[in-house]
Order: sequence, then structure tokens, then C-alpha cells
Amino acid sequence: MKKIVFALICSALSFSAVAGGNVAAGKAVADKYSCFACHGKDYNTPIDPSYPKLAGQHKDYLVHALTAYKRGDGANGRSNAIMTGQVKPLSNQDIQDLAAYLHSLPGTLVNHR
Amino acid sequence: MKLANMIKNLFALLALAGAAQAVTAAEIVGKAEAAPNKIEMCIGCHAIPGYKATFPEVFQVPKIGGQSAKYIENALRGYAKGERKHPSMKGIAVSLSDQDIADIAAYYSKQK
Repeated sequence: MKKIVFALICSALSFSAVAGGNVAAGKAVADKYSCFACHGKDYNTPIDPSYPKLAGQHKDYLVHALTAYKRGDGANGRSNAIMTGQVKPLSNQDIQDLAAYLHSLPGTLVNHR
Repeated sequence: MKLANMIKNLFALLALAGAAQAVTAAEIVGKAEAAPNKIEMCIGCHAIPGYKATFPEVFQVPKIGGQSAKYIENALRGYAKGERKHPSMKGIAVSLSDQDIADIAAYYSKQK
């Protein structure tokens, strides 16, 4: 019985890690691939107005956008000279983690009329 | 006589064409105050906190208030050109003029 409970807890934990993304792991991914070089050290002050602010953006949108750059010119994809190269080495888990990290940062983006 | 008239018309046409070009070449300046009439198509999704688009993927529509005008303009043009493939955003983006895009971008970039 104890074993079953332990297994259930483990599976619940690993599931939440996959679905939720890990903020600390996401910071490591962001640092490794120097996302800040364009999007700003706080991810809220991009170095050029053509780049988006990312801090506090919805996590599932960030996952969608990053995945779309991976798809490239295919259905539901995005083509972008810089981002296409940036997402290439990222695993699906990296994308989940990265999105969780960027979403966790304090930002100034808003959603209203 | 006829020929002279034709030449006159031709010159008039050329002058008009030149004027039209001058208008398109003039820099388009976004006016946030012109946007309220142009954002009806935006607010159905982007003004509802937590609203989720359901086609073709389910995710919360991005927060766009506070992004820079330049980024918003590029994103809208990307949807129109197909660099960003998203059926609903494409439908909206292709319906906007350059002035509409500039006005909407100015409006959302000023949101706090």
C-alpha cells in the first residue's frame, strides 16, 4: 500500500513538472541561450522596439509562440530569421521551463480595453 | 487636335500618379486617439483577462498592452504576410490598412 501511494505521489510530481514547467530550469535555459541579449536583462526592456517584452506574458502563449518558431513554415508555424535559429536546440521540456520562468517575472504587459 | 488633347490628358494622369505616390511615401504616423473605432476586432479576445483562443490551438491570447508599437506593427504584418500562421489573426490583419495598423499599435503601446 505504501509503495502504491509513493508511486502515485511520484507520478503526480513528475506530471506537474511536465505540465507546469520548472522556473529554475527555465532560468538556466534562458541564460544558456542568452535570451536577454535581445529581450533585455529583466525581459521587460528589449534592446530594440521590434523585439517583444516577455516578462509576465502568459505561459501557454509563450509555449505556443516558441513551438510555432520550431514548426517554421509549416501549419501554425512562424518564420523569423533570429527566432528560428534560437529555438532549434530547445526540447519540449526546455520550452515548458523557459515559458514558466518568463511568466514568473514581474512585467508591465496588460490585457484590457 | 485630338492628339493634343490626348497628350494633355496623359500629362494630367502623370501628375495625378505622382501626387498619389507622394501620399504613399509620406510617413504614416500612428494616432492612438484614432484607434477606439478600430479595435472592435481586438477587444473580443485581447481585452478579456485569461481569454483562451480555441483554434487551432488552445492557449491564452497574449497580453499586448504595453508592447512597443514597432513590435505590434511587425506582428500584425507578419500575420498578414503569413510569416506568422494563425488563421483568425490573418483574417483580421489583412483587413487593416497601414494607417489602421499604426493607430492600433500606438494605442496598445500606450496601455498601462
